[in-house]
Amino acid sequence: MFFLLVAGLNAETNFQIDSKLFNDKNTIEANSDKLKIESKKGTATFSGNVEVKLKGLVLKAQEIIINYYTNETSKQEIKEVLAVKDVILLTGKDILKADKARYKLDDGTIALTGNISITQGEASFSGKSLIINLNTGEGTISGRVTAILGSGS
Amino acid sequence: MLDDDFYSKMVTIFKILLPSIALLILSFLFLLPDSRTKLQAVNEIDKSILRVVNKAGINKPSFRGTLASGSNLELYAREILPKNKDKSIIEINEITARLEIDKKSWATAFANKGVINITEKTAEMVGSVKIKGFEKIQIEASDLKIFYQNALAKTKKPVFMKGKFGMIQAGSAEFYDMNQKSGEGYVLLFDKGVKMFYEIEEN
Repeated sequence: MFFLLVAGLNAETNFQIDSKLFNDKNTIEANSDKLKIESKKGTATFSGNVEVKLKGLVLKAQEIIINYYTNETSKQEIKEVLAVKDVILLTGKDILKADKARYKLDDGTIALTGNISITQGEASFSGKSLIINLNTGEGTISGRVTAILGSGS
Repeated sequence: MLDDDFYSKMVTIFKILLPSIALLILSFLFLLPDSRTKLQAVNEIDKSILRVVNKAGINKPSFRGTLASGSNLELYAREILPKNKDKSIIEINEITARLEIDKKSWATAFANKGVINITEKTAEMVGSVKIKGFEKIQIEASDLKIFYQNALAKTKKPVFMKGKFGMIQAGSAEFYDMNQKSGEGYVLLFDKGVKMFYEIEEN
């Protein structure tokens, strides 16, 4: 077994996620204990063991809040998706964990914050925050970054 | 994901259609000699519906007419039976109601049985409750209890909803109008396990 530990880095660290996973048009499946839709607040809140699946992507959390707004044609569109508590994002072979994840649809980014950990095969990273650009698939992890690179036994 | 105009129309339909079903059951009371019970009961129903019903002089468990708002309402029942001595609980069999706000916005509701409790101000639809409407909306539940004074409908049993918002299955559901709770808008609450499917539109 081989490990490489990199600790004490404060510079930004980049990694790549397959952007095709985010761009597939398909059916979203959401499972949860509860769902509350509040028209005045413009929110749809899934709570309790939430799991949202989109082809190639699985987002898990204890609560996922979808913020939506009414556009000029009276249609409602999703503005932001906020996942809190025990957030896990599974993207193919990658596993991302965080305390909170905020997906902004206007700029196509997901910001994960709090106890970030990323597992890509046998490599893993941890840090303070992670920004993923869904258009390019690029992710930037910042703060004190720890990387563990291993090869299988 | 969620169309505001669609939802507002859906809520409008609920607010008229569901109490209308209650009214259908209550319409039987027009045949009853106890005017006190009748007045107490219908006092809680949408006034525009009441005016039309009074004008039409309902004397049988069916009604077809145009409300003050311009909406067309049709109500039918096979049988209506008082269930207690003071006629505060009424049972109705095979209820069908159809409300048309305009040509594009309509809904039809059906239930095997309905029970109205005038004292509790509730109308309960029991057995194969089906509501279908515009934009391919479809709601199915084994029962649906309507608290018509508080604009609240709920079921403690599995419910299925399908429409523009996708498909939602849940173990129980509540729908309420926040205007009745010193707020604005409406709340849809699904509980006891929720599964939702939503088709992403191609840009």
